[in-house]
Amino acid sequence: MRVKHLIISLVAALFFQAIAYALPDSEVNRLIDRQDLAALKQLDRNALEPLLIREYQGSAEDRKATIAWIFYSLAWKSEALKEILLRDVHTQHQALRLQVQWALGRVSNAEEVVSALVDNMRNDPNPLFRDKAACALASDQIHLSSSEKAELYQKLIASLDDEKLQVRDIAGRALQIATGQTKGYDPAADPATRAKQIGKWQEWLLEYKANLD
Amino acid sequence: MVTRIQSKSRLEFFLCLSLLCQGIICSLAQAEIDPAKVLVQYSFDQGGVATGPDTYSVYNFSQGNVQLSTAFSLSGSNAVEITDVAGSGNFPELQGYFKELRQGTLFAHFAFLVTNPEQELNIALAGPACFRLKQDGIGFWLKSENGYLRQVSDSVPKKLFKLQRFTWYVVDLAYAIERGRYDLTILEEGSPLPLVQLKDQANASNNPHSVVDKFSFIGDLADRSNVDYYVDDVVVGTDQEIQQLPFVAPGRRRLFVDRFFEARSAQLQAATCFLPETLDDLGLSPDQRNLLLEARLTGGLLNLARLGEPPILGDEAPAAIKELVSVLGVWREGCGNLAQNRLQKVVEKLKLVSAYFPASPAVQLSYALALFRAGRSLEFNQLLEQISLRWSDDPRYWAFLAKLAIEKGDLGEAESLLRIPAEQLIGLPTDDPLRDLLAGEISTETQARLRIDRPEQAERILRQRLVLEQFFFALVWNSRYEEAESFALRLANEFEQLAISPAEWLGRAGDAAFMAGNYPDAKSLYLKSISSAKENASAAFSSLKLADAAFMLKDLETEQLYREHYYGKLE
Repeated sequence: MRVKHLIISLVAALFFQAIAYALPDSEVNRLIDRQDLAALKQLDRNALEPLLIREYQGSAEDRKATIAWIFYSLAWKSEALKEILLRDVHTQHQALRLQVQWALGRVSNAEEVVSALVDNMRNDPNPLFRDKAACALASDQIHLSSSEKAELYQKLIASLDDEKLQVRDIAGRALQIATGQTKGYDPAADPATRAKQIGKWQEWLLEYKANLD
Repeated sequence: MVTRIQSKSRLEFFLCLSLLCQGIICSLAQAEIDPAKVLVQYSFDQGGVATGPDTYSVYNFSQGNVQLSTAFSLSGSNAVEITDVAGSGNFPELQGYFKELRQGTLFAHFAFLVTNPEQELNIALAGPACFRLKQDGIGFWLKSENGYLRQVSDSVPKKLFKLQRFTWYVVDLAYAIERGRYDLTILEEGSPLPLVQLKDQANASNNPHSVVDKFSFIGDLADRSNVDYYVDDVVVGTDQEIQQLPFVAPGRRRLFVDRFFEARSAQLQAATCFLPETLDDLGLSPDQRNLLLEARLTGGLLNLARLGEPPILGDEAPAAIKELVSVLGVWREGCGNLAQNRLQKVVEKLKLVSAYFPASPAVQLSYALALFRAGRSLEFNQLLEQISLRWSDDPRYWAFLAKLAIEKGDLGEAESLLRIPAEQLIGLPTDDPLRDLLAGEISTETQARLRIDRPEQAERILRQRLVLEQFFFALVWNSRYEEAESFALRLANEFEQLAISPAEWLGRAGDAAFMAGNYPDAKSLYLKSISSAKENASAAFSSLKLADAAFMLKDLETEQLYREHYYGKLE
């Protein structure tokens, strides 16, 4: 049975590879360079995805940024896309970094994506990258289930007590975007006051988790 | 029966769109509500007064759908059905808007029924910041997730209860805008006590002074839902009486027999046309429907057919639409002539209309009525035979036959006809299609072949069938239910002796028992009808009646089973 499955998988892979090669590379490249999303959406995903992955891996950083934006826009949930994007989650190329950070949540609900973005938000030496990681956490984690959202909120709430003011601020903003409220949190308040404010968020999180299935 | 309306892009979810509604008619509420305090009000039935010109819009793209449906309704004939399709790239939406409220209390009342509660749906009241969790964004939000209905309060999706399929839920909301808090009551069909009764809940994002100016019913945003649900009786306003709107009567649903009684009532008041209940009742072709959708004239056309209010067409309107409007104008004139008994004119007009709408039961019945009144017996009988085989389960047809029989005064003839099937079918093989013709279980193609190959025999069988039906429905019309049941059972027995399917007459016996309030007998007869039916359509409709019988017996499990069975047949 296992051999049978192996043979079937091999045949399927060869088949899709053949389909991929049936799509003219020049045409796909033209659509990528023109950022023609409408036309790309008309193509068969099974054929297009491996081509886009190949192009992404073989491109310079500027072009990678364009393709990452395409991944963001297509919002295909894909383990393969997550893997290639995660490889660039710490790149210092600005355009590419921002597109990768925004796109990751649109292609995956994996815990490692949220963790990587939270890590960038809290620890990246570049404040722009920190800020945009927070944006991605607030707005682009589109595949998360309710329980996965609870984990995200937990990480954001933990960030409310970060030693860096900017991190506290952007974590608070991310929570506000996700929930519509601040619970009176002031990132510039003294630690004791902040602790009380964070306590409200923690109570809220308990209530949120209590309503999970 | 359904009438398509129109739908929207998932990417536009956060935009406030303000497309014009094309006149889906609103009906009056039943509570004593101050009309000045009503902002929006619709039961999605026809014959009422529109609350406002631009009170709601429907958004349809791709495979999702928002449409009027008679499959399920809480009150009247129709509800709105919202169907989402996973992976379609869009979601369907029913969105209504009203004057922005910045203070005071908003009262909202609506009902919904979901057929597949494991799929996600979302219902929200929101303000000018549209459907986001923020100030002046979503004020009130109900959603289903993993089979549970939840309210999003203080940004937390809080579990309320496990949704039951094919069950009406009535929601009453009192939203105090300045405080950003609300009271929520939810009633479940079949239960007099509230399923949910919550006070002083934080609004969706716990933001006081969050204004509202729109409501919305959708599938889901993540494009993973295949939900199929119905919405009815939406009322939004500032009058507290809105919360007192009855749940029809606790536990009451609109039963299949109600359509017969409504049709009987309508015919008793005036001999006039049978009005189409939905756009699909006109039997439009897919091309015609698509044209109307693109032109946003679905509601306008139905208004014309039912109320005689023509839609405003620009010069650029397609010729096919102008033609539709023109023919329906003739229809309205013909109906007016019928009501005034100006028979020559009405026959000419309705003949034209019936040729244009051959698949419309409402139009064909009306034309038949006109022919009958004008004494055009040959044409009348031929048309009635067609109607009998095509729409024998339409309660309007029952009322029509009954009225004819009473007007003709020949009820006595039917009794003697009970013996005729034996005489006509002696010597014929058991699989002879004439038997199926008499049983009402014959395909259109076979019927057409019979009319060509054996016209006299087919004619006699069809005539006999009509007389038997007329007799039965006349008894029912006059509330002589026991006699009707007895007659139908005798006929079913005769048919069985002659190797003819008794399914239809067992079903009719069940109908009479149902109308007499004898639900156990009705249920038993419907089950026998289903088991003996040859055609899927007969079995399907008996499933619907079984669901109603089970409901009246408070056997909700059986009711759901048969309603699901019927619902599956609709697909």
